Amino acid sequence: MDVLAFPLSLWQPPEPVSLWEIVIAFFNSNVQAFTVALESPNRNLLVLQIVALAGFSEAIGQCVALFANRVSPLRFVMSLGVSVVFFILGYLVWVVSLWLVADWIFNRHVSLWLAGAAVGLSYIPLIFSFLALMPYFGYPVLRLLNVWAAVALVNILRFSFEFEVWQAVLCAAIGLGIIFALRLTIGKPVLWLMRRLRNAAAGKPLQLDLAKIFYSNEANDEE
Amino acid sequence: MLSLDPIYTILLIILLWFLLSAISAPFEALGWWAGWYGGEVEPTVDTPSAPVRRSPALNVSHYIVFLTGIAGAEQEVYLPREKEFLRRVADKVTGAVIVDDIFPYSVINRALTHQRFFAWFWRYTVRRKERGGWGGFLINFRNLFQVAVSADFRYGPMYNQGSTALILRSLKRYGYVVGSGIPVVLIGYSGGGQIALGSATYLKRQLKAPIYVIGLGGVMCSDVGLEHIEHLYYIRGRRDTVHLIGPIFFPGRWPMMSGSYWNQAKANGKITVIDMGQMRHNGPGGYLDDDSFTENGQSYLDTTVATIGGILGV
Repeated sequence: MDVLAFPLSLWQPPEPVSLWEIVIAFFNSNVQAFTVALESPNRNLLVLQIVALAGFSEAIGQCVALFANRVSPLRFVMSLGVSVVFFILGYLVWVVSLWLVADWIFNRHVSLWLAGAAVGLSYIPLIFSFLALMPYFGYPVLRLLNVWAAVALVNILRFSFEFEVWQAVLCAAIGLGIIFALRLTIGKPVLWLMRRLRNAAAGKPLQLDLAKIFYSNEANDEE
Repeated sequence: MLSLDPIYTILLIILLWFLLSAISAPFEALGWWAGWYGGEVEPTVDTPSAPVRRSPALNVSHYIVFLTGIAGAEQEVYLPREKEFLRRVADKVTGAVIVDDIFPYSVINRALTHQRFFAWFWRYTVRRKERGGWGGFLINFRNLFQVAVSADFRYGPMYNQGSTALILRSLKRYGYVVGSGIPVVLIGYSGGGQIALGSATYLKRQLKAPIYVIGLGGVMCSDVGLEHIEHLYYIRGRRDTVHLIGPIFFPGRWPMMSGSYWNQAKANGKITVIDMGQMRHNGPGGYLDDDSFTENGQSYLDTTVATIGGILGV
């Protein structure tokens, strides 16, 4: 036992990484954030936290549609919850899609978790999607955050899947293409169900095209 | 790690305050639209202290709605220069009714200093402003975000319909009969210019009467309201830097955007720019300053009033 005591005392179990730390690491370097997350014992929870927070932030940033549809406060909260769940499901589909493309087309056999972490960490810019609420400048800011997330994804894919830049871009593009194809074919019933669930949470059929709401209503004259 | 350097901390607080103000700006209009306030709108004051004539002679030529600048904090026009301006406009345009009880930076007509969670803060801010302190800056900034809400393609339709409801209510209180066809002139001072343009679409739909907009140093975007008004008179001084927010920050105002509402209206001769010489936006040397004079000895205030009189044909 005495023989083992010294080397054991040198070994330090990895410390859990907080969300704040990983966000700071991401700002320093996308790849560094990935490395830190990979070594963290709470890595699964960390990625889930990032995705859920990004989903919540995006739901808040896009909540104008709920107000425009005159959703009540309780229904508003329920709708935000549903949006977060859908966001997480969308993330999972995106991960599987990328993982399959990498495996089948580019012959990169990485674990599904690794793909999940790569995509999840690229969502860090989307944690700031709530800034879309800003009047006038909010929408362009949201677009910039999306571009930032896309660039981060390419960076992390390069590192984690050992891709060249063009391969990372192509992998992401094919992955997106598959998702679009799914939406137009076998994904239709799923989209229908999602719309039904969204409407159920809102308590009314949601009209997401704001122009149709505003230009079919007369001005509100309270008298 | 965050440094405790005081300058860094102050900058961080300012940034956070800016972001918080920006992201919270649309919620009043959104909540109003969604009915979260139960249709609650603050009543207008019954006896405005501003000595502006409310019911003129028998034949009303125009209803003039004044939408105060971003320095406003309450329904009642309380800035001395604005009060005097309205009094002189009323004297000049004798057939007009002046509507001056709208706070255009709140769709529920709620003054910053009344019945709000942060009303105490705004009362303190107004006191600071009256002493010439930083209060004016905070009020301007808060109201400027409301101008941005009006200009935003997502929030604008809701905010502008709220403003329309307020304007309509005041017009009716001042005796306007819907369907009478009496022209309505919206004078939008500073950010009030955008509120005027924004509400014009819905106001036109309700009143079915000619609507004119006078942007007094107006901060305006390329708003769809330009399609619904008869004419926009854009009054601006060469030393007014505030009105430049419009042509700089709203892409629809850029000359290259030839298809925008602004550039289309300009091409169709719907916008008249009136140069006010060396006038500034506000304060000494501003449009409403009675102590600064043009070369012919007329005060800036009188020049502005005469210009508006000229627009209204008196």
